Amino acid sequence: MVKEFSNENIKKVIQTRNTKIGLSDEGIVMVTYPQGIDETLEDAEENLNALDKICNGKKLPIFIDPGPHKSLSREARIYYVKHSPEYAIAVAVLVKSTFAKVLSAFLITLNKTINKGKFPIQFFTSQEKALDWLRRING
Amino acid sequence: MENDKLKDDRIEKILHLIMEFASGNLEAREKSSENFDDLDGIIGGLNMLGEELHASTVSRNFLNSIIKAMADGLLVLDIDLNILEVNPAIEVLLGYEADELIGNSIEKIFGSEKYLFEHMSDGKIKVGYFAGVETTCVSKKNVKISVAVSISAIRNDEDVYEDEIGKFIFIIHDITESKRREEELRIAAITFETHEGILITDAEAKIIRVNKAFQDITGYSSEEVLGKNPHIISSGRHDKAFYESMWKQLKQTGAWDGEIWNRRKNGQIYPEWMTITAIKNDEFQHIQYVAIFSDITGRKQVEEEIHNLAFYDPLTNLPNRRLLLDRLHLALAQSERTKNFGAVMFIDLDQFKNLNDMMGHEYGDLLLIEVSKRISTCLREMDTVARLGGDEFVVLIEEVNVNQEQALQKIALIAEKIRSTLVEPYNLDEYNYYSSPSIGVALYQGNENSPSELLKSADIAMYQAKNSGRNMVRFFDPYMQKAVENHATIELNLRNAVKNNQLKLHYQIQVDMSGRPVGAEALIRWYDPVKGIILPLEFIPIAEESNLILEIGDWVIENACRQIASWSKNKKTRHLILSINISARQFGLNDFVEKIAASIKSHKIDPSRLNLELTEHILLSNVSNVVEKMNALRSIGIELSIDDFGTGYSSLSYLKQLPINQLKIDQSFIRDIMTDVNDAMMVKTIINLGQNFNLNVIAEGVETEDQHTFLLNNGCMTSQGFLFGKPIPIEEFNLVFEK
Repeated sequence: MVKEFSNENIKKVIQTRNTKIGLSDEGIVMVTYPQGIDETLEDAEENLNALDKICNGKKLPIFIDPGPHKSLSREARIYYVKHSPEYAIAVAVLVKSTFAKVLSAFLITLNKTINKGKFPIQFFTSQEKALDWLRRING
Repeated sequence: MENDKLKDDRIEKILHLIMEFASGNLEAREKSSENFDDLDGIIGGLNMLGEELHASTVSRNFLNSIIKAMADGLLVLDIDLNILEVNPAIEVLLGYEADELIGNSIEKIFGSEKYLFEHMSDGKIKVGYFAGVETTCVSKKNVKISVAVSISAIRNDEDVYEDEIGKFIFIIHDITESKRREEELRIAAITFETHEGILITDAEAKIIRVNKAFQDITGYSSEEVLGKNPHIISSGRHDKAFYESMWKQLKQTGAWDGEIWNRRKNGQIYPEWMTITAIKNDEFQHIQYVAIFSDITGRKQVEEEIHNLAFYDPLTNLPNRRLLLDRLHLALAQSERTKNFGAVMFIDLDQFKNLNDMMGHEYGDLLLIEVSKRISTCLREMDTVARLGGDEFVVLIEEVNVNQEQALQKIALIAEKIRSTLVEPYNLDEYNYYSSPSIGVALYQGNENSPSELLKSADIAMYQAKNSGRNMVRFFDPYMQKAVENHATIELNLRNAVKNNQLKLHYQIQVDMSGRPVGAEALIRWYDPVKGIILPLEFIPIAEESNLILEIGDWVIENACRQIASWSKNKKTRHLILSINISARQFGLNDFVEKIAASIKSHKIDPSRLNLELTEHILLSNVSNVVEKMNALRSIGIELSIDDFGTGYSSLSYLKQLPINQLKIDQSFIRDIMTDVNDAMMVKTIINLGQNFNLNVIAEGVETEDQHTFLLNNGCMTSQGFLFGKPIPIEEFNLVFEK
């Protein structure tokens, strides 16, 4: 279970239709999903608009806890992978469910195809390890 | 129980998805449950797998469709340049089936095309880059095809990030047609820059392009003529009808060719041979005109030289026999229409052979050249002098006169003029030489005689001249020869007659309405010792042809004034007015008025006793000058009459201007005055005219009382004629007054 954002360590939070996006004191963007959503391209566009506001022109490390999704459409997957380098210096994805594992395989392939594998996306089963990796990249 | 059922349902969904994918339905999808456990993850994963596979299949099919639809050929090669894949376009281009190419080396198509393979072997082609090469490939039927090859390289495996080439892609574009067009354009460009001038206009005849030869020939640069009408180079030699005809033919047939004279920028006019072709669009409308022309000045010169050689004598530049015969044909045809007489003169130089023998042909040639020039100076522009060869010349004199006698005399004069010109001494390269011609003349009227007959006749006449002692003119027709000789004799004798005092004046009395003498007309007579009295009609025309008429005229004035002076001393005759006839030539002399005045003064006579009779012919010359002279004469006090009135060309407007005293009705009207209504009417009209202009009217040739009565009844108060007295010598005339 992902820790809920607390007022102490999250400065700015935006709630979209199916996602909550916030910026931690450490400068890491925290993205969490509620349980059981079918995420479409429209959702992806709304979420990246929110991310744009959170980042405010800077590229930041992003942590994503996809939660127990029902589905993530192909258009939404491609949209995320294609536009993430515009906002993020790296993306860490927490993999806890079987769906998340399968999804990570597709995202890795897409990242190779679209970003020539050069954009850093890593998948973690531990939130702490994921945040540590992001902190290292963020320097 | 419920959990087991849910589990079974989801396993069923997983199996269903796998089977659908296996059967090719990549669009099959299943919904996961709300458990979010492994089975739901697998369902979600299979759904995503289906999406990717479907997208990949769609993408591959799309790509295949493009490759199949490509008009250009596509080859996929491995790194050893063996053919892996081809598209249908390459089969069409080369005539091979796909399986005849796949597995074979690229050399099967391109041979060992070095340039092509250099691109691929020296590292110029890298992944993600393209190279373009123009080369030729060879079809299955061994036909060379010009192609543009676009070569690119791709990786073998998309997972390999390094730029290691895995395959080559050849896209082959057939450029045979564009090469052919390029070649055509190249040929057209070379053709355009030919030695012939080319001018292209649009449909409105505005120049849109010219070539270098155009600029060389016309002297106009391209910038100077572009946008202008080709009229800029027209010479003005052709009339409007010429250009209208040209455009008419162009519009009807789309083409025109012909000779045309144009003008260079420097103003020089030159001949061109021009071909104009209309360019049409798909609707057969003329959109451009292409004119190709060559300067044919040189050709024209050669043609002219050939023409000259064919028709002219190279030594004298005179027409040769061929051209003479041609012109003679035309002259005879013309004479047939106009009935004018003409003549052919055959001229041969006497003793010419001696000159050649003694001095050489160079001197003979110099003489012939000089003779040709001298003959030409004796002729009119329209006449022809030709050299037949050697020392033989022929002169053609056209359209002389419809009257044979007059034509004969004119021709005789011309012949004599030529003869006398040719006997003048020649200076041949500083040597004085004397020559003479023998001239034979044949007259013609109409085309009864052929040109060769005429030449033969003139030739015979020329031999007659030779046989008669050379240096003379002979006519072919004996009658004509006699006539000419008579004419010459009369002229010679007349000249002597003046010197020898053989000319006398006879006086014919003129009377008023009561029959009283009021004057006389002095009429000249020639007392020839052999022939007796010769009337003026026989010798005055001959005198008119030479200056003798002036000499005779002076003699008449002098004698008339002397007679008036004589009459003035007698009471019975001092009132008489003496009329004398003045010829047009005499009147035309600049000092005529002064001469008359001097004679009047020297004889101290009353000028009003002298009446000058002028014919209407005098008025044909410069009227204002004639009027001026007449006014001068009137101011002296001399009387002036128009002689033979009614037979000439007088008009009322002239009559009004002339300061005359008297009209003299011609005797031809008086002769039939009692029988011919028209003559009677004419006489009445002239009398009325004279009265209206306040002029005295005198009738001549009055021979009967009836005529005299008619004249008196109609107001003609003065008469002259046999009824009152014939022209008689002065001694007899004066007796009338002594009685």
